[in-house]
Amino acid sequence: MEDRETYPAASERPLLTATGLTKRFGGVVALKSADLSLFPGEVHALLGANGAGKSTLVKILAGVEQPDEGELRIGDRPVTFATPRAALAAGIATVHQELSLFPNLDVAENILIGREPRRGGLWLDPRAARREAASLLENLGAADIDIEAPVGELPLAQAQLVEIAKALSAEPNVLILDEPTSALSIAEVERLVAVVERLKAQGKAIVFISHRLGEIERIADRVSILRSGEKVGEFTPGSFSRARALALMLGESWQEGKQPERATRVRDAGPAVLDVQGLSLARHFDSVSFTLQPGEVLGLAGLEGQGQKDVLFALFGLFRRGLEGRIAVAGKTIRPRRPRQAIAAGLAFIPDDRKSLGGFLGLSVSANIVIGALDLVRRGPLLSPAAESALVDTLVRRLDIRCASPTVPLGSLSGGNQQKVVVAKWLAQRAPVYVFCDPTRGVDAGARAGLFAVIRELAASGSGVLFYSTDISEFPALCDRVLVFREGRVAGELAGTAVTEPAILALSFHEAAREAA
Amino acid sequence: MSQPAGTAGRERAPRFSLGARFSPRGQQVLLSYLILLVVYGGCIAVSREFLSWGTMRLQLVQATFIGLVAIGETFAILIGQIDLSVPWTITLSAILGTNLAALHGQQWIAFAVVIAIGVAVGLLNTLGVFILRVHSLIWTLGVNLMLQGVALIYTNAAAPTTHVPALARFLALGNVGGMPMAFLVWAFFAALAILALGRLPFGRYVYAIGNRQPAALLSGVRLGRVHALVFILSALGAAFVGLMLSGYSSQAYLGMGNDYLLPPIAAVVIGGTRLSGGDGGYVGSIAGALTVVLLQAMLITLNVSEGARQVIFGAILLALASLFLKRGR
Repeated sequence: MEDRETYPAASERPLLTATGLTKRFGGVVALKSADLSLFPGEVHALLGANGAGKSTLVKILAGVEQPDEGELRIGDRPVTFATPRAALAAGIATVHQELSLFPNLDVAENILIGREPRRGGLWLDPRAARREAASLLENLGAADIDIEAPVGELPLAQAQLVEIAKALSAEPNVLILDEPTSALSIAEVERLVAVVERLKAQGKAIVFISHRLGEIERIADRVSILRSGEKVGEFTPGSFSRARALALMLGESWQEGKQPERATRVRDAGPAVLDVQGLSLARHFDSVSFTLQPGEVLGLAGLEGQGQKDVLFALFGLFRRGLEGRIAVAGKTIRPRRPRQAIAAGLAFIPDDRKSLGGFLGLSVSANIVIGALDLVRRGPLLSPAAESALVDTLVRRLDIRCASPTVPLGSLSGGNQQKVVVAKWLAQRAPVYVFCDPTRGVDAGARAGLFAVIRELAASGSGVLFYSTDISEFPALCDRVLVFREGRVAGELAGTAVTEPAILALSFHEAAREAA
Repeated sequence: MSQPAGTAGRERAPRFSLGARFSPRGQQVLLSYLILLVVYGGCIAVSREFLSWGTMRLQLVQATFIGLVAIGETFAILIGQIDLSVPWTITLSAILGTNLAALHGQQWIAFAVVIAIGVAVGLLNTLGVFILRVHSLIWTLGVNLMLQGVALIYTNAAAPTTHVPALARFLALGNVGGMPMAFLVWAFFAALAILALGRLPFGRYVYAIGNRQPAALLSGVRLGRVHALVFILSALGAAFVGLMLSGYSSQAYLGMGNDYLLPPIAAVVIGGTRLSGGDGGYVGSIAGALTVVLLQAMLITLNVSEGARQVIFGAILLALASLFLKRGR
């Protein structure tokens, strides 16, 4: 940020003003009365933990979601965006985290999709398209990207620039970049920063989302901090402080300078049920080591996408290639390449996406529960309906699964009860290690409490439990010990009373936490 | 909820015998049999002939061929796939089986050929559909084409025989206690199929895969093994029907399996099995096979020309199929 000089109109009149934006999903308030002003030639960063409301705010600006309350103004004119198209027409372009490119089409076709230059109002004009696409890329300082290459062949960083060029082809005044740097290397980030500087100099208002405080400090003029759906603070140009930002992000319970101490690992007398040493998978996670004692609930925390979920997937045999390191379950080394092998070794896996991974919505509750334990209900070669319903009845009662009868399809149950059925599947046979991968996603508070009770019960009966959640508040409620992941590595470990929400968050924003100390 | 979940003593057993265990689909099966009744009523309205045992006996034998192929097709469709390699599996099995058996003067060779072709074609289909991930619609049709080629090469080199194993003839034309032997064979394999789907772990895996393959993988189901078993079963059924058909017409000839591509699939669909997989069963397919055969017979009795018959038959099948596809959402 050597060049602090901004566009003449900066900090005079905002291009876009949002006031009192509120959005509820069911009973959950995702965004509470948020205000935001975007000025031309300014980079406005949004900072906050997962679930703080950043995505909701961005989705409202982009026309993906409509606010329940509040108002958007462009200049002095109130506007509403019923669709993303309407937002785009009003000059607001968004580059989402998941790129929306067509891998088989070339760069020019991607950039101008839906806006293809035509000849005679009918025929595509590929030459004009290439010219236009090339000038858009040049404008970004990315003239080196081969305009005729299929996008699928480009490295991610270049594909992202193509996406930005595509957004700019609509000539927006406001450009929203949702975590554009999270998948980039340091050199690639440099290039993106340069692009943002250029756009800023052209008078665009830029909304920039990132978890990296260092980046924000460099690139942002104005910073809004969100926590639990509320905007809790705003830094005007030049006033940003990492420590203040962190304190705002983490809330009242956080006191500056108080660092969670790195707990020494408590080693039980008993042998570990799970021992993971130096587990690495290129582009996913790196040298992850931990042990899990019987009776222990170990949390894998961190911001979303820091590799913790991939570690669980790898343990369960969902990565067939490239896994390095050692995994031992109950003292026996395994190399799981299929879920079946992980199951045979003693792992039980409750996935987050029960609609597509955990359960069979069209099959009966009963069939869902016994699918992994058919040997238990077999008499000779045939399944015994009596043995099956006995087993199912026991588990349905134990987990308090609410269904009219175990013969109804799983899909007819509520989300929480569906998740219980998925858990019940693994209770028929006691596993030494239970892996819960964001099990409470989309379940209500009552079902969540029930699920927690089951997890505690499993631990109490001597199994080890690995627990991952996107809701950070669940770790202190449940875990004996927590590993905090950051960029594919274990950034820190917390145990016992040190497992607190602020401590986890501080380790999640590791760099900043050290700074604040 | 007046009654707490999980209490014992609910109605549970009776519906299972229909194979309707996995979702409230007893009605679906009922609908299939209602359609069968309506079509049979139509047949009787067209001709009193359909009241005679002699006519119906003939229809039962015809339905056997379709019904046996429909066993494998039901399994294949339940796991969300389809097997279109049936016609030339039938023909190749019939030609190779009868010829080799005649050449060596040994009946059992024909059965060995059935098993060899069944296993080989089944594994080839598994290779393409499961390992290479080619859509089964494309792959099995390609395999069908290749089998046709093999049959042509073979018949160019060897003269076809009219000498059909006596056992094949007995299976297709025999009579046991007044019942056609073919129908008894069908009843036997139908019972096995229904048992397999309802009471074997294999059957559970079939439904699980068709319902949601990733969830089946995470539940530890051996996906490859189940796919292989299903495609082998389907090819075995077709190869066996080839042998029976050669016994039925006392000869094996090129193209004899051509009428067995769509009718068995139609039988499965009319039987209420969802084409996208995971829901259905063989009980309905039985009604479907009988319905298809009776429809064909009715149109023949009506004395419509071959071309018009095909148009009407096709139209009725599509109407029934769309009826079921709508019901299945």
